[in-house]
Order: sequence, then structure tokens, then C-alpha cells
Amino acid sequence: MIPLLHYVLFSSTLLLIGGYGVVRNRNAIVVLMSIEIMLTAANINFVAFAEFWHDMGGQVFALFVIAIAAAEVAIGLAILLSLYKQRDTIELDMLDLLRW
Amino acid sequence: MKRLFALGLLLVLLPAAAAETHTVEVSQSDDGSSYYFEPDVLQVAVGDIVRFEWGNGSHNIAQASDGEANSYVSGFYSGEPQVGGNWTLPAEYTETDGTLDYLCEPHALMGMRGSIIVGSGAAPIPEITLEFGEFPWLSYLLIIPLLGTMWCWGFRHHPEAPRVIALGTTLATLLLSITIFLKAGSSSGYRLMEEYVWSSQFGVSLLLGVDGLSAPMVLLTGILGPLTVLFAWEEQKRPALFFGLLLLLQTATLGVFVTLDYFVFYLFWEVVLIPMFFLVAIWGGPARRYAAYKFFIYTFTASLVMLVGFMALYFEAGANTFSMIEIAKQSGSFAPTFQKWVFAALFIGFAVKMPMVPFHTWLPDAHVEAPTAGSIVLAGIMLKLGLYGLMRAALAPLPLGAEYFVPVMVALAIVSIIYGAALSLAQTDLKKLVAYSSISHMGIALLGVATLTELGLAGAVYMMFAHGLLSPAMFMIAGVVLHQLGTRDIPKLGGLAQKQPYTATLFVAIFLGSLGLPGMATFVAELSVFVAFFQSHGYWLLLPIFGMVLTAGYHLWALQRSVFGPLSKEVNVEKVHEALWYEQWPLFTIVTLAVLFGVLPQILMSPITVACYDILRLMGGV
Amino acid sequence: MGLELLFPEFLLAAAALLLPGTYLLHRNARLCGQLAVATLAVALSATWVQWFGEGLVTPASYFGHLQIDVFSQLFKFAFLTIAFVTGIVSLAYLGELPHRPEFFTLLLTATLGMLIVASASDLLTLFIGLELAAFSSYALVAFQKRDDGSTEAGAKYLLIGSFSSALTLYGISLLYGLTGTLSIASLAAHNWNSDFSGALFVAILFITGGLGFKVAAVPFHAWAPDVYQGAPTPVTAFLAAGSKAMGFVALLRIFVVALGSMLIEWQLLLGIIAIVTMTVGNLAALRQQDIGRMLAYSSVAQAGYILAAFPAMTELALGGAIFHTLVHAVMKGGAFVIVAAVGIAGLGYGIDGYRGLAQRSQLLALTMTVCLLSLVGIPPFGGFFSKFWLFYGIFQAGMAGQQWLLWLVIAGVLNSALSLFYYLRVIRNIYTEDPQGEARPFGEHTRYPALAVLLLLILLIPLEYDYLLTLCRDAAASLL
Repeated sequence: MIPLLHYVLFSSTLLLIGGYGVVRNRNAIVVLMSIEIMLTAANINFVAFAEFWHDMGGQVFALFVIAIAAAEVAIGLAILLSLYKQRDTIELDMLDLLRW
Repeated sequence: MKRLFALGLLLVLLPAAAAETHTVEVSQSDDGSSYYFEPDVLQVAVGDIVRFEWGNGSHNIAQASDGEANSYVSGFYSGEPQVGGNWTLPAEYTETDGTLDYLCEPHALMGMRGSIIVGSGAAPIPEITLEFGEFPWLSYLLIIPLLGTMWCWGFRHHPEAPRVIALGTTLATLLLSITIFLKAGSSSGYRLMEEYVWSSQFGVSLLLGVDGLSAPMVLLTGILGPLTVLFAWEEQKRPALFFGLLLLLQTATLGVFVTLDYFVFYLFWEVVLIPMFFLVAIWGGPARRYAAYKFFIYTFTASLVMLVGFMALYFEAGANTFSMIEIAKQSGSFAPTFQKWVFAALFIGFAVKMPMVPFHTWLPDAHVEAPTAGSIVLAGIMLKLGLYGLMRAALAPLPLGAEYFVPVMVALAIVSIIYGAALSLAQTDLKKLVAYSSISHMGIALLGVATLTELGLAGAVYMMFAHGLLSPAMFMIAGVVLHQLGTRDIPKLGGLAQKQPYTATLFVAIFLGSLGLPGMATFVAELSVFVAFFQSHGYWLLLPIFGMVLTAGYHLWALQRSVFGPLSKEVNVEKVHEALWYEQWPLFTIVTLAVLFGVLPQILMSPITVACYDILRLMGGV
Repeated sequence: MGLELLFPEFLLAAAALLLPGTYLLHRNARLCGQLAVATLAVALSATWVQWFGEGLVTPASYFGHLQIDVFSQLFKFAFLTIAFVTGIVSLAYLGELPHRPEFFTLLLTATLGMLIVASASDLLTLFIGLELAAFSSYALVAFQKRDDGSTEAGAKYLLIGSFSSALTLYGISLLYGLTGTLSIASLAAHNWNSDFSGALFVAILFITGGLGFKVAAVPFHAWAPDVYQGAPTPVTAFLAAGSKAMGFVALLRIFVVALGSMLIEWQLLLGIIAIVTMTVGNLAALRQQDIGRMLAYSSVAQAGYILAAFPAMTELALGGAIFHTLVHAVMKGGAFVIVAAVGIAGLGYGIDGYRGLAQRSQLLALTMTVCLLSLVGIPPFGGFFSKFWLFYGIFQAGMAGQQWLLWLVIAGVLNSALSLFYYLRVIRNIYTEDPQGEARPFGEHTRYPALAVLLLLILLIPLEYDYLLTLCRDAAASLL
């Protein structure tokens, strides 16, 4: 039995990694991936806490989040693709048509 | 006969015979560790006599504004600290219910205070009569110009129609306002009241009513309406919008004058800004955009401060109503500090509108750039809103705040009088001269209010009315001069009297009226204010009198340079002719009215005095 | 207990599924648009009937996930109205662009998401609703895929939006870990152990970050100007009016209901955010030349005013906040309808495009002026009333005890004065300048929404504010 604290530490580490990726990376795809990592961090929390409280709600939430993450990637890639078609780049630094 | 006399004597003496004498010991402990009045809280009946007897130490007795004050300001006073002896409280202080706080001046900080509770202890709330009318005169007064606005708008593709509609509407409003003025009469209290509940959960209602303070203002607004429209008769640029906005402005100002509810008062107060902004911004002179901007932002910011003050009043009164009458009744429970802060907030809102130095800088810009009709309304009505608001909304609920700010008001008023007059003296633009003279004249009115006496307040209202007639007339003159000569620069003018003798006569009459010639309305106002000010502040009166000398100076200088003297060579005077009919008639009307109200001041003075007395009664000063 | 109260949701879901099918069968894009608008109209009238016709006495709860009460009905009605007006304006704005059926499908799903948020009674439903609305709006923002600005705005909105929802999600997971429940009602009843206040504060920070993005509160506001400027204007109107209100609904549900007992933990945080938000928003708006960006920053400032009611936590203040949220939707939505109309007419999106608008169209000029003056809060327009009662509520709470709340009122009042500067610039252009350049005539489709907004702001709201405010107070009371 792994103590709850370990799960929480793990998920916060993942969140930090994801957050760092979002803040530091200039490539839109990598940013999108980092956001997925953050969602995973939340998912781990949900599952761990569900086990701790013996409550199914958290696990159901995790399942929904997985579905939501998939939808997010789909729509995200679609938008980034159309951006790439126009600009030939997905570097965020190049998005300066509107003042950032 | 003898019996009757005896009976009368008995009746007079009966209360005196029943009067009880109370004694208060004024003393200190032998080691000086405690200073006291014994008893420190004394309960007496109305008409009783209170005697103070000195024990140990040197003390005196001085009335305090409340239980925490540390010094004597006004009220009863036993004299310099004395050792031994006794002193009797003057009988007038125990004639009515109320609480009298007093202290010993040298030992106030050691807690040597006392209070005398006369009768029930609460100052009797003066009853103000409220009379609801059977016919909604005031609603019609507000609705008719508003309907006129829409009607003008409906005829926007017609170049001729809007001005006729506007003239008709303003004449109807004039008739209504005369009726209302007559119906308001000159007895105490509010008349023709109407109440339409707007929000019952917060106590907002469209509470309308007139008294001797608002009725003259309504009359003034009514008189200026048709004159303004006539003077703008030849307006070619978007006439429908122009006359529509003028009528909307009239609705809003009338709304401010007849409403007795803080919320609705604020509402109308702000609505005034919108048409005025557009009048300046669309029909103004070269720098109109800047002027309109400045005007709007100055007055809006100030009135937001005022709004916060209103909200504080509402919550502190706790009566769940915005009615000015109800909130004024609660004034006894407002703490002195609270009153000071709230009065300061309200005063800022009103002082910008008046405008008083140093909040005046928007006025010259707005006046110079505004079209003549805009200037007429600005000087004639809008400048009155500030002082009217001060008297209506700030004095009655905040008596202690008002008293505390008397020195500030006096100082600002005197500075405004002298500064305004001095700047007028330095102007060469006729319109700017008139604009600065407005600041000076409104300073006199504020001086009247600052005396907090019946005569002073009445003089201030009379000043508002007189200035409301004559200042627009001066702007009309500036308009005529600009129209005919293409310039308002006084040094370039000269000899107008030779070309237009009849018009020039009107000019002279108006200038003399404005500088305070006896027999014209302004004189009555200035005299009342100065007498009141002399009574309350003594020889400080010399300062405003000095301002008056400057006022006479610039009026006469401008008159002499522009109307008399040799014909100017700097401008083309060939085309100068008598003013047109629609310019002459308004001027003539104003001169007639100024003389009428100068010779028969009691027409206005009697309602005004009664209303001012009511205000002072509510403040507890009478 | 029947499901009829959920009829609008079912209807929108069904229509969102049927719309693409209809297009495949008929190949008639125009029909699809009209169908979507008709669906919204039916849903709107259904809500109206359920709400007023039968009267809503007791809250109805569905499976513990959805709860229909006064609050949710009020906002459902508002969201459907906003979507309906957006639909009408879009019909004209999109013209003959390709992919119109997709646009309207997305509009329906976004509205569905908002409806779910309005009646969510546990955090899972709330989150799903938020995401449904968010995903649809990402695509809507990026809809004009041939237009550089639109795509770029979409990409930015997507990246910042999903980042912030990841933060919210993490905050929710922490909240779940602390309490073991997702239901808002059980959270509200939870007996907080003070040992966890540190962890709770972290959870609150995450949730504030995520939802602050939705309402564009500083420091999570950076997306708003870009997206408002770049997105197709009807979508901007939809976001400014609807999405923002949805953010406030979520904030109200989480902070006021679920965490209401822990007021002390978040009160000061939200108070500071409110002051900073209104000040930064107004200062930034001062120097904007693009009308969309200016209105975006003004939107940021308005979010600050509304947030200021949260720390007060009284029925009156929250009722005022709800009222202002709804009136803000009308004013901002109305302003963007005019911006869309001016844009269609070929006058561009700069403030200079508004020169002489009064001489081109009296109605549009008047509506724009009234909307802007309303946003400042100048009487007698609708915005004054909502703003006044909002600050009134905060003022009352301040006088009743928490003195520091008075600073929120003072900051709000000063900010209102400040905001006058930039709104007046547009009004001045509209009335005092002469028109430059040629413009296409304004179509009928913008006239009617403009007229409706005008009537709302100068007649209905001022005259009936007492009734409307009572509704909003009832809604707030059903939260507390």
C-alpha cells in the first residue's frame, strides 16, 4: 500500500513539469503536450483521493477528464494545423499579428 | 378688561411660578485628582432654572457641541474661569426640549463635563408641512419638455419645424412654471407633492414637491426656456437635435429642482450632463471637443464623490428611504465626524458645479466654446444647480458638518469673488469676461449660504435668480456682438451705440443690472448677503466689498470700450445694425424682469425667506 | 418529478446532432442557420414558459448533478437570449462564407455547455459544462480559417484556455482530496478542519487562476484583447456577454456556495484581484485604438467591479453582482453588435471608423452611445442602475462591519470616472466628426438587435429595475 502522500507528491511534480513546459516552450505542440501532462497530474490526484475516501466519484471524474483531454487534443491540433497552413510555423513567438 | 388682563398675567406667570430651580455644583477634589460637575447629568423640565455654584478651584461653564468636544464654539458661556460664586443658565436654553452639553474650559481634558437634559431630551423635530396636490402639476412640468424632445426628433427632416415645436413647448412650460410658482405660495413646507414609488425594497420614489426654494428656480428655468429657443432661432446645423437637446436639458434641470429624493436627484443631476456635453461638443467653437471633454469629466467625477456621500447618508439614516425629508429628520443621530466627512463629499460635488475656485477651470472653457444658447443654459440654470443642491441636499441633514465648514465656505467664497472679478478685469474676450464674472457672482451667493442665517440664505437664492436672469443676458450680448462683428475682443470694439442706439440701451441696462445697480434684482441680493455677512463675520465684509469694486470696474470698462467711444476702425462696422427681433425681445424681457424683481423684491423674497427659515429650522439653528 | 425542466438542454443537444445531418441531406447552409436560430428561439420560449408561466416554487434536483432553481433559470434565460441574438447577427455577418452549418452547430454546443454550467450542482458537471462551452468557443474564435487574425486568436485562446482549465481541474482535485466529495451541497456543509487551511488556500488559488481566466480578471486577462480583436465579431459578442457570465456563474457556485463557509480564506484574495482588475483594465483601455481591444479591456474592468461583490457575500451585494453581470451582457453584447455592423459596412475596427457614425445611421450611433454611457454607469441608462445597486450592496456590507470593503466601493467609483475618458473618445468621434470614406448601407438584421438593446437600456431596465433586482436577489438568495 503506497501512502497517499506519495501520490500527491508525484502529481504535484507532474503539475510543475507541465507548468514549466507551458511557460518555457515556444512550440505550440509542446505546450499542448505540457497541458496534457497537467491534466494527467489532476487525474492521478483524483484516482488516489478516490481510493483514499472510498468514493467512486473521483474515478468517474478521471474517466471524464481522459475523454475531455482527448477532445482537447483534437480541437487543439485542428486549430494549430490551420495556423500552420497559414504561417508555416507554430512557434508562439511568431504569433504577433495581434499584440500578445 | 381688568379681569382679562389679570387672567393674561396669570397665564404668563403660571409657568414661571411652576418653574423649579436646580443646582449644579462646580468643583474639584482637594488633591486635584478629579474635576466634576455634580450632578453631571441633570434632568430638568421645560422652563426650569439651572444654577451653577462654585466649590473648589477655578472653573467656568461653556456649551459644547456634543459630549466629546473639548472646546467652546457657541452657545451659553459663564465667562472667564472664576473662583467661587454662582451663575444661572440663561432661561432661553431651557425653553424647548433638547440636550445641552457643557464643559469647563480649563478642565475639559480631565473629563470635567456635564449635560442637562431638558424635557424629553430629544430636540423637537420641526414639523414641515407636506401638501399633496390634487393635480399632478409637477409631472406635467417634467413630461411636457420631454414630449417636446421626441416631437422635435420626429420632425428631424424638417428644417423649420423643430424650432416652432421647441418654442411652443417652452412657452407651455413657462405657463406651467408660473402656475406652479403661484400655487406654491409663500407659506412654510412643501406643496404640490406627488409620490410615485419606484423601488419599494430600497425606498426609492419619484418624490416631487416645491417650496419657496425650488419655486423661484422652476420659474427661472421656465422663463429662460423660450428666451433660449428664440435666441437660437436661426440655428441651421441639425436643428432637430439641437432643439431636442435643449428641451431635454430643460427636463433634466427642472427634475433636479422639483425632486425631493436623493436617488432621483442624482439621476437628474447626471442627466443634465449629457445634453450639455453634446451641445458644446457639436455646436461649439473651435476648441469645443476639448471643452466638452473637460466639462464632462470634471463634473462627473465630482458628482460621483457626491453620490458616495448620498449613499453614506442613506445608510446612516437607516430609514430605508432616499427621501430628503425623512433623512433630514434623522440628522440628530449623525455623529459629528460622520457629518464632516459627508458634508465634505457633498460639498465637492456641488462646488465643482457652482463653480468655486479652485474647481472652476472647466467653466471658462465650456462657456467660451459653447454656442450662445448653451451658454445661456449653462450660466442661467446649470450654475444654480450646485448651490441649490447644497441648500436642498446638504444643509438640513448635516447641520454640524455645515457649521464646521463655514470657514472653508467663507474663504472659498471670498477667494472666488475677488479672483473671479480680478480675472474678469484681465479678459479681453467679452464672453470670457462674462464667464469669470459668473464665478464671482456665485461666490457672493455661496457667501450668503455660509452665513447660515435666514437673510444670508435668502440673499443667496435671490442672487441665484438675479444672476440667472442677467448672466444669460450678458451672454446674449456677447452672441449679438460676435454675430455682427465677427469678434468678441473688447479692445477692437467701440462705438456700438452710434450704430444701434436701441440695442445699446439694452446693453447698458443689463451691464448696470449685473454690476448691482440699485433698483435692479442683483442689488437686492448683494445687499441681503452683505448685511447678513456683516452680522455674522463683521469687518471681513471689506474683502467682498473690494471684490465689488473690481466688479464695477470691469463692467464699466467693458461697457465703455464696446458701446461708447469712437467707432472702431479695427473691425468692419458697416454692417452693424440693430439686433434682430429674436435677439431684442429676449434682452428686453430680461431687462424688464430684472427691474421688476429689483423694485418689487417681495414677490420672490417672501417665499424664499420662508423656505430658508424652514431649512434653518431643520438644521436646529432657530 | 419529470424531466421537462431540462427540455432546453435536450432540445439543444438534439439540434446540435441533427444540424450536420440536415446539411448533409439538403446541402442548404442557410436553412441550417435558420434552424439553429429557431431552435434557440424555441428553447428560449420554453424557459420563459417554465419560469413565468408555471412559476418556480421549489428547486428541482436531477441525479445530484443538475439543479434547477431561480439562479439557474435566470442564467439559462440569459444565455439562451445571448445565443439567440448572436445567431441572428451571425446569419448576416457570415454571409456566404463556407462551413456555416458547423458554425451554428458549435454555437448550439457552446450554449448547451453554458446551460449545464448554469444548473450544475456538482463539480464534475460544472467542469464538463465549462469545457463543452470552452471547446466550442475555441473553434468559433478560429472559425474564419482563411483570416490570419482569427486563427491566431483561436490558437491563443485555445492554449491559454486549456492551461487555465488544467489549473482549475487541479484545484478541484485538491478540493476533492480535502473533502472526499464533489457535490457542491456537501462541500458547503463540510466541516472544515483548520489544519488544512494551507492546502485549501492552494486549491483556492488554482481555482481562482482557472476561473479568473474565464472572466478575464487580472492577471489572467492577457488573452481577452487579442481574442476580442481577432475573433469574428458575433463570436466576440457571444464571448463578451455569454462566456463571461458563465465564468461568474461558476465562480458564484464554487466560491459563494461550496466555499462560502471558508469566506475568510478567499475574501482578501478576491478583493485585491477585484481592485487590481478594474484599475489595470481601465488604464490599459485608455490607449487602445482598436475598438475590439478597447471594449475587451473595458470588459476586464467590469469583471473587477463584479468581483468586488464576492468578498461582501451578502444577498444584496451578490444580487447586485448578478444584475450587473446580466446588464453587462446587454451593454457589451449591444456594443459588439454595433461593432459588427460597422465592420460589415466596411468601416473597419479602429476608433477612427466611428467618425461621423451619427450621420450614417442615427439608430446605430444612438445605441452605441447609450451602450458606452451605460458602461460608464451614467444615469438614466441601464448600466447605472446595476452598477449602483452593486456598489450599494458592497457599501452596505462595509457599513455593517467590514470597513475595508468601503475601499472597494471607492476604487470602483474612481475607476468609473477614469473609464469615462476612453468611452467619450468614441462618442466624440460618432457625433462631432464628419464621416470619411464610403460605407455600405447598414442592413435590417443589425437594426432590430440594436433597437432591442436600446429599448432595454433606456426603458425596460431603468423603469423596471426594482423587479429585475428582486429576481437577481432571489437568485442570490437561492445560492446562500
